[in-house]
Amino acid sequence: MLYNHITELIGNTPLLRIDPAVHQLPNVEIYAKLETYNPFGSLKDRVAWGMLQDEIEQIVEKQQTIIEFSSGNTGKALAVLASLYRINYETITNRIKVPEVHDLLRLMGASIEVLPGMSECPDPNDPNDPLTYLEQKIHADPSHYFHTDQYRNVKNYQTHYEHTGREIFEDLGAVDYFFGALGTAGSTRGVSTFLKEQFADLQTVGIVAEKGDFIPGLRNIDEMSEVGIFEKTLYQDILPVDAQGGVRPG
Amino acid sequence: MLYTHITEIIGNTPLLRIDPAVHQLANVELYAKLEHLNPFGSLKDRTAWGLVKDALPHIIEQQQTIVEFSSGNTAKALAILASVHGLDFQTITNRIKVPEVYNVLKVVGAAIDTLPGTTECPDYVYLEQQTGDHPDHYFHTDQYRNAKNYQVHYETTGREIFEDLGPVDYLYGGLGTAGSTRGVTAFLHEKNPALQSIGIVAELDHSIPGLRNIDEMADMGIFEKNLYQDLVVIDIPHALDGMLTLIRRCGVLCGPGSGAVYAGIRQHLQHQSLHWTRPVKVVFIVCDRMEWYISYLQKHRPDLFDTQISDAASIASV
Repeated sequence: MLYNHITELIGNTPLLRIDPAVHQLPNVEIYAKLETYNPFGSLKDRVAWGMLQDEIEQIVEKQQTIIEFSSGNTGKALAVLASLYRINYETITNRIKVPEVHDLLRLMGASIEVLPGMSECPDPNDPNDPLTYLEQKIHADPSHYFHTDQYRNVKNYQTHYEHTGREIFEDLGAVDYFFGALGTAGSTRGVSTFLKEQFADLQTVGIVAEKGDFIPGLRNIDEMSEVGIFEKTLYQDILPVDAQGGVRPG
Repeated sequence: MLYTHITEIIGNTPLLRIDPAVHQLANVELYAKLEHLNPFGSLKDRTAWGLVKDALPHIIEQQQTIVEFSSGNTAKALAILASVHGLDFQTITNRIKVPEVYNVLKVVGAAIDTLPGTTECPDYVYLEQQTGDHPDHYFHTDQYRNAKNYQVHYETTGREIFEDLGPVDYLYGGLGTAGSTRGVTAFLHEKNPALQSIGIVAELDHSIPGLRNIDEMADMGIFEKNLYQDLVVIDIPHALDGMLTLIRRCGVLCGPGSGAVYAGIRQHLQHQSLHWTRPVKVVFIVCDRMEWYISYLQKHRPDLFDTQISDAASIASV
């Protein structure tokens, strides 16, 4: 297939049936939505493009700096998109725990501001909170920045409602169970909302990290309560997984 | 799209038009075949699957160990394919120079037999010594001499490019085993006998992962020198500039071999294309992904990592 712009390749990812001989769950058909197949390597490609798409012309015209609070895939996708449009991207974070991610962000030309602090999530009551810091920074020079605001931006889950959820439904029809890892909770919320509209009995299960265990991309249950677009009532169950379970084969 | 096996996702990769404002070559329509978007991350996914597909029932029945000389993408793809089918895979190499590639091979379950020495060419004598007592125990995919290496690119990669573009004027490919370039060239040449096929090789003493240098190419069985109208020699700095341009200006998150090919196109065409009187269709192959080459970049371009200052200046320069 011929494409004129790399952003046309975002989405329409494959859905792969997992061999029952592998998962060994009776009466279960498991399907994996391969968001790894997006051009910048993660499901956040959709989110980043969803948050920028409608605004990009204006951002370019004003030569704004895109700014986001991200430690990983959103930062990576935003950095590539900003670079494509020859604008600056700045990521604010206090949780880049994977050195490769830091290096990739640098490679794509992002500037990285690492804040100290314990909280791994925005907390408006904490004076050292990164989101508070970010807002102060924007406030000092508002026209200079475009804040994508993934933790509160409805476009974060809308893009998954409009695309990811719909694609799954078009491939499979009604889905009984949907499992998603909870980071910003945007993908799970968007997909689950779409699939639930098609099949009201859908069970949505959120996967979080065991407290004290670090699994890149996941938050633990305490941290989830601080994420603006996380809606607890959407989930029939929330399942903590430890880091060993995250890598153990079987 | 719904798939029941990961191998069904191999191939049918996108072809991306590169913005003329980026490549700045007069009279050139440049297209990149995005092989890095294959499921295991490189054009070698096609090669590996092409090498084992037909023999797989036999390999499984005999519970053979798949064995290959590979330091990178072929090994990775074969290791995953072996693992997916419950088989063992062993790679014999002395040229894994990129630590991430070694680590990825370990994660996907490959056995790595590291040979001493500096030659970068397959040591068939060593392989025979290893398999000597139990030859039935091994299935040697033999990527350097196996016609399936280029046949799969003839049948799929070349055909896909033609279906997207019609006749192609120029094809540029990095020469490693030279299988992909040979297969794609053969197909496109049948459709347009005036096709110019240009091979990109590394400067002597410049290690660019995925590319061989011109002396090493002579030792490769599949390499047919008369298939190429020209060879372009690229050094590491130009390869990495090309890689950064593809990453930052095109969103193509590729490795240094692809960067070398892009740099080779610029070098080869920037003067001659000025004299052309019609738009010319140029295609190149993006062979693998960026993520495995961070340490390579840190070694050769530490400047990319040593500052936290915004990079508008360096973006503007690529």
